[in-house]
Amino acid sequence: MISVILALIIFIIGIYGVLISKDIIKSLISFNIMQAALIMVYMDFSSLNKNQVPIYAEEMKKMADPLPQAMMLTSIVISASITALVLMMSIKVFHYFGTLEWKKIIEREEL
Amino acid sequence: MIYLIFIPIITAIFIYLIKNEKAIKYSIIINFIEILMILYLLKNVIENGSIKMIVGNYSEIVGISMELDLIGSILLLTTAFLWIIATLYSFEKHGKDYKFYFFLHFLRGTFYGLILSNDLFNMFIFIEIISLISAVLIIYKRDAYSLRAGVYYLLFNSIGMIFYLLGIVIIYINTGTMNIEGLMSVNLNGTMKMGIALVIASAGVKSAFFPVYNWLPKAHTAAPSTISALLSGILVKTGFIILIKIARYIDYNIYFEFLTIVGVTTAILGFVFAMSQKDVKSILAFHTVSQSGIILIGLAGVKTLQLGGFLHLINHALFKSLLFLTVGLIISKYNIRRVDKIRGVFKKLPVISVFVIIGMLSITGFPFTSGFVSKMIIKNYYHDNNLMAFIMQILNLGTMISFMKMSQIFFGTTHNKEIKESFKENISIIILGVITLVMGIFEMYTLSNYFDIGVYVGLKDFVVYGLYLIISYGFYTNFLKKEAKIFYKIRHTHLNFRNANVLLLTFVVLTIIFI
Amino acid sequence: MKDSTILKSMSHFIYPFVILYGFYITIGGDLTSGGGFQGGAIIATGLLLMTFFSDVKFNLTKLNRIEKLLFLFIIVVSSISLFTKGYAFTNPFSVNKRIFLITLNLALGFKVAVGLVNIFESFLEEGDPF
Repeated sequence: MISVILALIIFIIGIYGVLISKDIIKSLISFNIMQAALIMVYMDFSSLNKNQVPIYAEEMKKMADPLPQAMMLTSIVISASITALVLMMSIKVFHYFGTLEWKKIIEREEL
Repeated sequence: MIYLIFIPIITAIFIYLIKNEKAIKYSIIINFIEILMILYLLKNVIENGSIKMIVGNYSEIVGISMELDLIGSILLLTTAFLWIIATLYSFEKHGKDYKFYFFLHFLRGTFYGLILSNDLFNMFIFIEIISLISAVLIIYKRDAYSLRAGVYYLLFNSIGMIFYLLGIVIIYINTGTMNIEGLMSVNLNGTMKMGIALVIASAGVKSAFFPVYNWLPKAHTAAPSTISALLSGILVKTGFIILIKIARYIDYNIYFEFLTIVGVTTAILGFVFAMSQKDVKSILAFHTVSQSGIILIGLAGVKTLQLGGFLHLINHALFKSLLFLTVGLIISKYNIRRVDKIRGVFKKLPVISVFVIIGMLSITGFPFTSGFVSKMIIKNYYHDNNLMAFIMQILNLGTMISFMKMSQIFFGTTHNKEIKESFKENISIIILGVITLVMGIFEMYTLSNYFDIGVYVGLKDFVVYGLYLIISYGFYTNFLKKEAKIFYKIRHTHLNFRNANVLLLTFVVLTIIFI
Repeated sequence: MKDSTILKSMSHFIYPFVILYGFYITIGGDLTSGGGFQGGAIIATGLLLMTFFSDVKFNLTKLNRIEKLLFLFIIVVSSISLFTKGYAFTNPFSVNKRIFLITLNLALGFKVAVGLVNIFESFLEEGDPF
C-alpha cells in the first residue's frame, strides 16, 4: 500500500514538471519520471503479498503475476526510443532556432 | 489473418535491403494482394459473423487476441485503398527514396495490427509505434517548421498515452484480464469509472478533441503532402477506433451530454480558426478538427447516431485525402502556399480544379454526395431539439464560409507560363475522385436496402444549399475580404507547450468528474 | 568544460565489475529475475563507462554489421526447432533445456547492448553544437 502512495507522489511530481518546464529537455525528463512512477504502480499490483519468482517449481503458493512484468518491459523499450527520437530532433531544433525554450520556438513564425 | 500484419512489414524490410528503384514501384502489387485478402475476409465475416483468433494457442484470459468484425473490415478496406492512392501519388516526388517507402509500408502494417487487435495493451503498443513512425515521416523534409511541429507532436502524444496506461492498470485490477471482453460483466462503480474516463481522455488526445487539439494544425501543415493526406484521413481516427472497440461492451448513453458538449465545442472552434488562416493547408487541417467534432457528436449517442458517426468517419477519410492530394499538387506547381497569392487554377489546371470542386462539395454537404448522407443522419436524429438543429445549421454555414475563402484560388489569371499538368500525376487523384463521387449514391442505396434507414433527397435540400451559398457569400465579402482585426488576432494565438499541458490536465480532470 | 578527476579514476576502476554483473544477470535469466533485455542494458552501461577515461571510439559501421548479424542469429537459432519439433520458438533438443535458453539470452543481451552503444555513439559523432 505504501508503494502505491509513493508512486502517486512521484507521478504528481512528474506532472508538475511538465506544467512548469520552459525547455524541451526538461519536459522530456519529466515525461521519463512519469513513466517510472507508472512502472512502480504496475509492479506493486503484480506482487501484492506474493513474492515468489513465477517459475514452475514443486510447491507454488505465492507466485507473483508475470503478466504486468512483461508489459512493463515493452513499455520501457518504447519510452527509451521516444526519448532517443526527441533528443535527436532537439539537436536539429537548436541548430535552426538557436535556443531550446518553448516560448521562443513556437512564437517565431515564418511562412 | 495474422499474416495481414506481417506482409507489409516484410515488404518494408525488403525495400530497405534491395535499394532498387524498380522494386519500389513493383511493391504496389503487394498492396493489391492485400486488398484481395481483405475482400475475402469481408465475405467471410458477412456470412459467418466475426472471426476470433488467439495468438499462440493460449487461453483467452492471458493470450493476445485478435478479432475481425464488420466495422473492422470496412476500416481495413478504406486503409488499404487510401494507401494505394497515396503511394501512387508519391512516385513523382519521392520516387527514388527508398527510406521513405520503408517507413510508409511499415506504418501500414502496424495500422492493420491496430484495427485487428482485441486486447487493451496490444492497442497501446500499436498506437505508440504509429506515433513514432508518423513523427519520423512528419519531419522528413527537415526544415525548421517541420522540426518544431514534430517535437510538439511527439511529446504531446506520448504524455497523453501515459494516461492511457494509468487507465489500463485500474481496469486490470478490477477485471483481472487485458481482454476487452472483460469489460462485459462488470458494474461501473467508482474506480472502474475513473479507469474508463482516463482511457476516453487519452483517446481524445489522439483524435484532437476540444482542449487538446493544438498539435494537429502544426503537424498536418508541416508534413509533406502525401503524409498529410494519410494523417488527416486515417491516422487521426485512432482515438475513434479505441472508442468504437470499447463501445461494444459499454453503453455510451450515460456519457451522452458530456461527449456531445465536447464535440460541439470542437466543431465550432475548428471552423472559427479555419476562417482566419492564410495557408491553404492550415485551412484544411483546422477543418479536420471540426469534422472530428462532428464524428464525436455522432458516436456519442444511440445506435442510429453511431451509424451516422461511423459513416462520416469513412466519408471524411475519402474526401479529406482527396482535398489534401489535389492541394498538394497545386502547391508543388505554384511554389506558393498563401491563399491570396495563388490565382488562376481553373484556367491552367482544369482537371485538378474539377476534383477540388468535387471535394469541396462533399465536405459542405451538397445533395447526392457522401457528406450529405452522414450529416443528414445526424440531423434527422435531432430534428425535434431546437438548439442542436440550430448548431448543425451554423456548422454547415461555417464550413461553407471557409471553403468560399479557399475557392478564390480559382479565379483570376497568373503570369507563370510553366504550369501545366500531366496525366501521370493525375491518375491517383482521378481514381479517388471518381470513387468519392459514387460513394454517396452507393451509401444511399445500401442504407435503404440493408439497414432500414431512409435518406431522401428532395427539392428542399437544394434550396437550403442555395441559401447557404448566398449567406456565406455575403459574409465573406463583407467581413473576410477586408481583413478585420479580429482575424489577425485569432491567427496569431499560439499555445505554449506549458499551457497546452495545463489544458490536458483540465481535460483529464473534467472527464473524471463528469463521467 | 573541465575534466573531472574523480569521474575518470572511478570509472577506470569500476567498469569491469559492471560488465561482469551484466553477464551474471543475463545468464541466470531462466532461474531468477533478469534475462536478455535487462542484462543487455547493464552491459551497455559498462561499455559506455569506457568513453569517459580514454579515447576509445567505436566504429559505427562495424557496430551496425554486428547488430544485424546477431539479429539473424537469433532468428536462425529459434527456427531450428521448426524442423525437429514442428513449431517454432521452442527447444530443439529435449535433453538439456538450459543450453537453448542461455544461448538466446546471451544473444539478446549482446544485441541490446550493441544497439544502445550505437545510439550513444551516433549522438557523439554529431559533434558539439555549443
